[in-house]
Amino acid sequence: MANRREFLQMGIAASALPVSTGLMLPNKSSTAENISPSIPIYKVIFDNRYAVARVFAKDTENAGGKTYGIDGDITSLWYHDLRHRWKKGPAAIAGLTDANALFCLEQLAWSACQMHLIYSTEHKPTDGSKKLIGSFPESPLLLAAEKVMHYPKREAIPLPPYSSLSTDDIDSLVSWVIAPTKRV
Amino acid sequence: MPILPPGINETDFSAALGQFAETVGTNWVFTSDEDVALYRDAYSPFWGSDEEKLASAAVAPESVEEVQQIVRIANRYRIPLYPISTGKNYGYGGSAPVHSGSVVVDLKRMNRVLEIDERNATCLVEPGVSYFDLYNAIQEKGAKLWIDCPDPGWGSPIGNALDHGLGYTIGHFRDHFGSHCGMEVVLPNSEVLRTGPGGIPGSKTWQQYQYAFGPQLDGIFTQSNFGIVTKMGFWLAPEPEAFREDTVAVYNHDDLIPLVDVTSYLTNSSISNGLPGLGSPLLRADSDPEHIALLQTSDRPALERYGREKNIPYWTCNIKTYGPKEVINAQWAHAREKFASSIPGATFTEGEKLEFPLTYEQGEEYQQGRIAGGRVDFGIPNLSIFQIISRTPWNPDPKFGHYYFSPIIPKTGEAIFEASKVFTEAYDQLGLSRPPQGITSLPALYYQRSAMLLMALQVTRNVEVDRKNRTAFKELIKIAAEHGWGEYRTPPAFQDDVMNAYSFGNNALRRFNETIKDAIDPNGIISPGKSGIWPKNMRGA
Ligand SMILES: Cc1cc2nc3c(=O)[nH]c(=O)nc-3n(C[C@H](O)[C@H](O)[C@H](O)COP(=O)(O)OP(=O)(O)OC[C@H]3O[C@@H](n4cnc5c(N)ncnc54)[C@H](O)[C@@H]3O)c2cc1C
Repeated sequence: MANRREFLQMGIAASALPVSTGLMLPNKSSTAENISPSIPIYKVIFDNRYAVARVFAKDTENAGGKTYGIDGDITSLWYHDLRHRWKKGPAAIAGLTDANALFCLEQLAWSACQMHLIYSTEHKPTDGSKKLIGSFPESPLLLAAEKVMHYPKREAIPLPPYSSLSTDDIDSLVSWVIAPTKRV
Repeated sequence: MPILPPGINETDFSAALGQFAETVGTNWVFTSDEDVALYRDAYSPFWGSDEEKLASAAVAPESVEEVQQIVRIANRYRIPLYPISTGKNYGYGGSAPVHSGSVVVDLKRMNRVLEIDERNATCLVEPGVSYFDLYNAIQEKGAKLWIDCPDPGWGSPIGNALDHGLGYTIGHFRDHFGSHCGMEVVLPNSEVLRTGPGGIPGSKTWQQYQYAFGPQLDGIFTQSNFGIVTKMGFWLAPEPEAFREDTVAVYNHDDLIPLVDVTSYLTNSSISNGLPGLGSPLLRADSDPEHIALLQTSDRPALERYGREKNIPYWTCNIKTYGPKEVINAQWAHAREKFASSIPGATFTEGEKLEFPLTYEQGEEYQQGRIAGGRVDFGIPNLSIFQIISRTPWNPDPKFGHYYFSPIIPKTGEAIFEASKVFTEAYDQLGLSRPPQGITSLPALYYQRSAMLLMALQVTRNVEVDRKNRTAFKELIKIAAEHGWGEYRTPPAFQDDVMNAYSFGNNALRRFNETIKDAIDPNGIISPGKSGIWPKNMRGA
């Protein structure tokens, strides 16, 4: 028997049929026309638990971006940083996190200053192995980081599949941009 | 443009939106697809189906006068409104309306903490004040007071209390509506009503005395559609000196009965004032094949024997106590004695001991290594709970959320066994997946005198699977009712079903609610359908 939190953790689902695990996060690129041509990204958020996200953060910093690492939970980011920044007005953020962290940030961004998720792509290991198959001196992530930071001036691109990047036990991560739209 | 409210033509709707904009400013009327999409219930059991409950627009007022004006306009054009405070009611409907096409009245801009009275340990807040906001206001004031918050700290004391929400700290503070004191409500005719002593102009005791002269009305504004709440007072806990958490472990299946009885005695006598937490290490399969095999059988003596040999308790209960250090030590000594004399073979583990104050940062440190729980025990708001919604064989795609089936059952071991048997069988009959060892959920003991089961059904965003699960959920409601158990709260998808289960006296409860609804909201503009209460013109719709 589980208590409620254990129950949630076990995720006892009531699935009567097998469930598809396809990409379901909405890609909101349809809002692109409402977005200013170049968005200064206030901070790029990455999930410290995953090597691929740490590399992404390093690349972002090399490209001149400011980063904030989380461990899945966004509370500290919100409490110590974003809530203060967003009190002054909208400020775009981008990131490479899991879907739960993105869900929380999307909600908070709307409540605090009417910002939207304007870009998101889910990344999954393609071959199920989740194994590193080579080093990457010329990190493809650098390109991705730069592009996420300058979205939509340069189109953000999906990250490469994990199978070529990471030894982490990752199910999926999402790269995303949350930003003000023109109405604000 | 998103959908129209049913029965309203485009001209009237545009006129109403225009007048809303004149009231609150154009920036605060949300009509674009992207904006209105944010009022979808991200955990909707209807996601993607034609039946999904969707808003037509949203409007965000900043003052009581603006709320009144919105209500006047809605009456003029018969526009259904759906008020939310912080709109984070995930698991129970998010910020989506019960009646599709309603305009969400988003009260997030009404976010002032109006008063914190340290001497009397009370506060008065607006609906958009989140638990984070109230916590911060108390810290900034340097008041030695605690809030009591639910697991997600982004909700609001008002929205949460209005849906009978619950938290984790001391005694009656966990019952958020139970510890409110005084309300201000904009009625469907746009008048402003204050409950309790607030009915006296210039009242000096609005947040100090829960009743007034005459009938106490506050309850009728919870889980209802009788008004828009614009202020609420709450009682806060004086910061305790210390805390301790200890665990009692018992090794036989039937030990649950005295375990719950003694826990109830300790709670009801205020000897232990924290939230007791039941657990079952023995029913949680670990990696030992023998254990896993035993869990598949119904050989209870063998399982008990295995547990005793391996020192894995059948049941545990965490006993939390807050208060002066010497007092809580004495309370635990007494509690231990009570358990030991009532349950032969009970063992005890002394756990966490803390002294307060705890800063936010110390709370963060305390949280390290705990996936959930932790800080909320000390009224420190956070969002850690969202990490635990993780991927498992039972939950292959966790990011779409869940909704809760949450019946209230008697707080006895016998009732827990019965509910467990009933719902395990029901899960199997209905084709719902559950862990191999059976049993759906151990109850949460938020309330002092009852227990609550909280079973999460996963949203899959597969229209067919979600439809099957909704049907199964409705069956669970019926099965619960046949055993005398009713849900404390439910998502809009099931509110009619739950209200119908409260059918005593030929549905006297629902009919009485409808009588009130018709009398005070003849146009049916406030949250039609909320809690199964439909206005006359929509009944049977
Ligand atoms: C992982 C997880 C854990 C959770 N843990 C808890 C928990 O520990 N305890 C708990 O209680 N809940 C819990 N919940 C449920 C829910 O998230 C919280 O109860 C949350 O506080 C409710 O959202 P809110 O405070 O923003 O209220 P809102 O969404 O603003 O309001 C809830 C409902 O009340 C009505 N309402 C709100 N404001 C008004 C108003 N001003 N006038 C009239 N009617 C109004 C509306 O019908 C609204 O839909 C949990 C949910 C999840 C997903």
